[in-house]
Amino acid sequence: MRKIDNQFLWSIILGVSVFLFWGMLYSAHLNFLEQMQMFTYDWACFCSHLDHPGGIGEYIGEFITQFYFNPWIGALLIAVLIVMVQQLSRLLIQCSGLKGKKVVWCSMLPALFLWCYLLDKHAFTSFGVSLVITLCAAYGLTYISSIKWSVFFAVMMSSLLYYIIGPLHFLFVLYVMVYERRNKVIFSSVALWAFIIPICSYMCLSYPLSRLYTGIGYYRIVDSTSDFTWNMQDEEVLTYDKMVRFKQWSAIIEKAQQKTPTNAASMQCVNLALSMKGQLVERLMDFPQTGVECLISEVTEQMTSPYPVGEIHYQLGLINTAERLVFDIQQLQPMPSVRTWIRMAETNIVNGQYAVAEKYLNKILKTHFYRKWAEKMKLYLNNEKEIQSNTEIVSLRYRRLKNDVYYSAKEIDNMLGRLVMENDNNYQAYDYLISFLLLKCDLDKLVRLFPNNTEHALPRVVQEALTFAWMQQNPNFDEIPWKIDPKILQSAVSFARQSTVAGTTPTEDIKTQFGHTYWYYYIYTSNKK
Amino acid sequence: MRQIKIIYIVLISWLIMSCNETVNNAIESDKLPDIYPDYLNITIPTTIAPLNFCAVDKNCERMDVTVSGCKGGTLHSNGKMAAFSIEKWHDLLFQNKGDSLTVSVSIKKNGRWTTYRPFAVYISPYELDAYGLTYRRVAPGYEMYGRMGIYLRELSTFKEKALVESSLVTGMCVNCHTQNRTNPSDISLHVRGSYGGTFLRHNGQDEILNTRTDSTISACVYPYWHPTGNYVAYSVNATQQSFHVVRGERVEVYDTASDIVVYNTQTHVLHRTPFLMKDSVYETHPAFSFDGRWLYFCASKKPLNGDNAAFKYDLCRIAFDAEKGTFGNRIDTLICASVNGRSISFPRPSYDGRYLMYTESNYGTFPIWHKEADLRMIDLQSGAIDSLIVLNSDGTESYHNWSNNSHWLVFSSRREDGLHTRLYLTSLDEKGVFSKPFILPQEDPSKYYDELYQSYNVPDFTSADINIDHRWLRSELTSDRRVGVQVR
Repeated sequence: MRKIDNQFLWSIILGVSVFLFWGMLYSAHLNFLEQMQMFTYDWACFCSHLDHPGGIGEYIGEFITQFYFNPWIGALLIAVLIVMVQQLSRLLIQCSGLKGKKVVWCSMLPALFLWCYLLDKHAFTSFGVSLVITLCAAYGLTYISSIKWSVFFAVMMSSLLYYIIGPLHFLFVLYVMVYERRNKVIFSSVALWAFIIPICSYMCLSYPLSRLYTGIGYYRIVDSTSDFTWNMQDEEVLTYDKMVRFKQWSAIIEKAQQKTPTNAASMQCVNLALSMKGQLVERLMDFPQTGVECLISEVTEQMTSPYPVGEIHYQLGLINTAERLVFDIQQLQPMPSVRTWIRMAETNIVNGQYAVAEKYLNKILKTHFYRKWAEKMKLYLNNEKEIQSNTEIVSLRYRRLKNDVYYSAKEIDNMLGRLVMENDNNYQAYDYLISFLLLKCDLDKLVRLFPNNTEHALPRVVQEALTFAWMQQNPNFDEIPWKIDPKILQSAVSFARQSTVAGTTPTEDIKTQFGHTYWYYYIYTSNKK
Repeated sequence: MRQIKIIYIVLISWLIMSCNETVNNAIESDKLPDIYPDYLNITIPTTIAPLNFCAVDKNCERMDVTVSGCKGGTLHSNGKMAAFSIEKWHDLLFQNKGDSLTVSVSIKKNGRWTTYRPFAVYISPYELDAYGLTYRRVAPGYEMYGRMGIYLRELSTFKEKALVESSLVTGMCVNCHTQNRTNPSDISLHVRGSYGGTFLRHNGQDEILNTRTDSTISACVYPYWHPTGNYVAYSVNATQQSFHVVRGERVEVYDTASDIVVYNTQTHVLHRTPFLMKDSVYETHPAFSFDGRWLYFCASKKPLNGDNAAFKYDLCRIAFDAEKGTFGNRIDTLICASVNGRSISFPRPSYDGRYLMYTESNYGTFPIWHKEADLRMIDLQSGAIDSLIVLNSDGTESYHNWSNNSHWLVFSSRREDGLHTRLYLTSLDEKGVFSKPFILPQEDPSKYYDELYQSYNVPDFTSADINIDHRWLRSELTSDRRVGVQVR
């Protein structure tokens, strides 16, 4: 009795650990997985999984993944999955004759393996589902005592398993070989058959043989260089990405204040949040900028999450570009992504292309968590009066470009300039333009933006940049045309003196005194070189 | 026990009755029914799949449809949508060839039936001498591409099969497929990506070509077969794309250089002529005349300012001697669209030599993203140009191809939602008049097209089934084995 209790105690400890880990530390990861798929309650979704091996496992995996929308439910489901793997492994190990404490410890290994596997952002839950199914099938075998029926079961089950869960059927075959080691000849034949099944599939399916052996839906293959990756930097980006998705602008700024973002992708989210709060230029140097890539960039296949880039373009009013970016993201994915579809519906509504928007919304209506949102958005279709009640759409329509030009990622300052010129109330674009020039260290253009003195007080970072630009060409500040705070002028002189002495490496003193000034960024942090 | 049996019988009878509800106390309406797809007064071939349809009104509870042939025969459908048995449908069509069908539609809504004014469906006396349609299905996207492929759809049924899909080889893209006058023994199909090459089937023999040479701008692009099958004309294009920023505009695909070459399928030689390789002129979209004596193409002078909107392509031709593989020494301009500020692309001569259909847009060479793009047709005998009002719409009309007897045409259009391209069929009579086009029939058209997020492009008829050995193709593509071409 005590022994049984211990067995379950370890499972409970495992389950609780998994639950807390995924719920507290890895919730953004779950959200990322959920947004990269779209589970719809219709036949089309089910049938689309039937044309390749492992499709049913994928379908169940996607069904589970949709609940990751709520990370605590997601954490619970992953905990259940991992504990099931552990318990099934324990039962199978016991059936193989192993006894004692080793059973529990050995049974932990597959569970821990699955835990580690799922840490990768490209790993699908279908792998865990398939693992559970194959272990169940193996356990089913232990109930058959007759050799003939065992062989029949093994042959049939390995074929069926390959269709349902894909090449994880090899695990079942492996267990058959270990469990029925007395009948090596017969069970080697079963193994041979299991090995041949993918080749048979290869004859009829349009997939490379390698994928039929390694699995089509266990892992998201983004490009040919995709391999297993797990690092906390990715998780940081995913956390920011999640907050961008749910428009938690204040929370993003708060998080960045508490812990300095470690990469450009995270900084893009922080800068977007600052911009949404109207603080971008004012607080630009409060955070660790390294260049324009901290502000805005193009989408690349290697990005942890490309969505923040799309969000930046969307919020600035570059609606077509925002749509293109998410559309291209979709093309790289093996399955429809609900976040992409939502954005495509939004961009088409903003652009007044209601027929296309309706097509996307009809699909979203078939989901569980986004149905209500889609129902609400459908009210806007062909209903300009209703649209007036949606401030975001109205504002974006106002902000977007009216005069056509080709988008150029290499001339993003030009695009931002156009947004400002066409709509001088597009303060976000204006802030992004100034910030872009500051981070690009393009002081010539910045100076041209502020040719004369202005009645309004300039943001501190702009004053610092203009002072810096002035100092590079003038011996003193006597004729400086902008209204600059005298303290900044004094500070600039002090920085110039100290940095000249320090050379290319800043002293601790300089860092403490000037770490948050534009001069420090320009001389020491920017990657303009 | 007896009571249970009676209950069963009543239940089953009720189920049968409820599955086939009769039209009672219907309101007579003098309006035509609002159905999807719009099959009202269209002309169809005898070999087309059943024209299943549904009511546009989503609140439709039930439809009762009777199709009566003027020469006899009747079909009846009662259900959520009008759906017909394939065999009975074809029997009815053959029985009424050259005449018409009368379609009576009653729709039940809010518990009340309404019977609408019947409409006609004409059955063309002209055969559609095609087994099916080939086309590419791809998401209407930008730079990246996901799942896509070249597919074959049987015209008399709803069956579709993949000829080549991008999942065959990782990172693969397929495009620009064409057959020789619908003959599946001659196929040209490009594969792009790191394992790129041109799949060429000639007289049933398959090979993978490497058409990239040091003397041409690019690998071969837009193909067109010579009627003898001994040559394929290709354009070679340095293509780029840019993205618009305003609503209603998405992508601009354009060339920064282009020429035309003719590939000899026997000798693996690319034939060139200085007339089609001018630096100051961009030549593209080649197409041989029905007898192979002329090579039609589109050409635009390189504008001085290099502005894309200034590229206006005219329809031109040059003589071609298939015996010697040589070109004429004069370029004829058949339609000078640039004079009217317009641009021509995708010329497709009818196989009887009478007409040439093309796409006309405001500028450029890739009209599929141009909302204003429309089909036009020139009568090659009289030179008269038909603006084809019956075929065109407010949306984009672009790719098109003729059936072997030149009495049927398939074309692509974005008229449904402005983004997703669909295929339409239409027939041409002896007087050169097209019938009202109809969308490619599907088993459940509303569901199918609503849930299809891909576009059709480059549609073509095929006179017979096509089989491509996937294993061979994959093995060849992933190897270094390519048949090289020489330039002459």
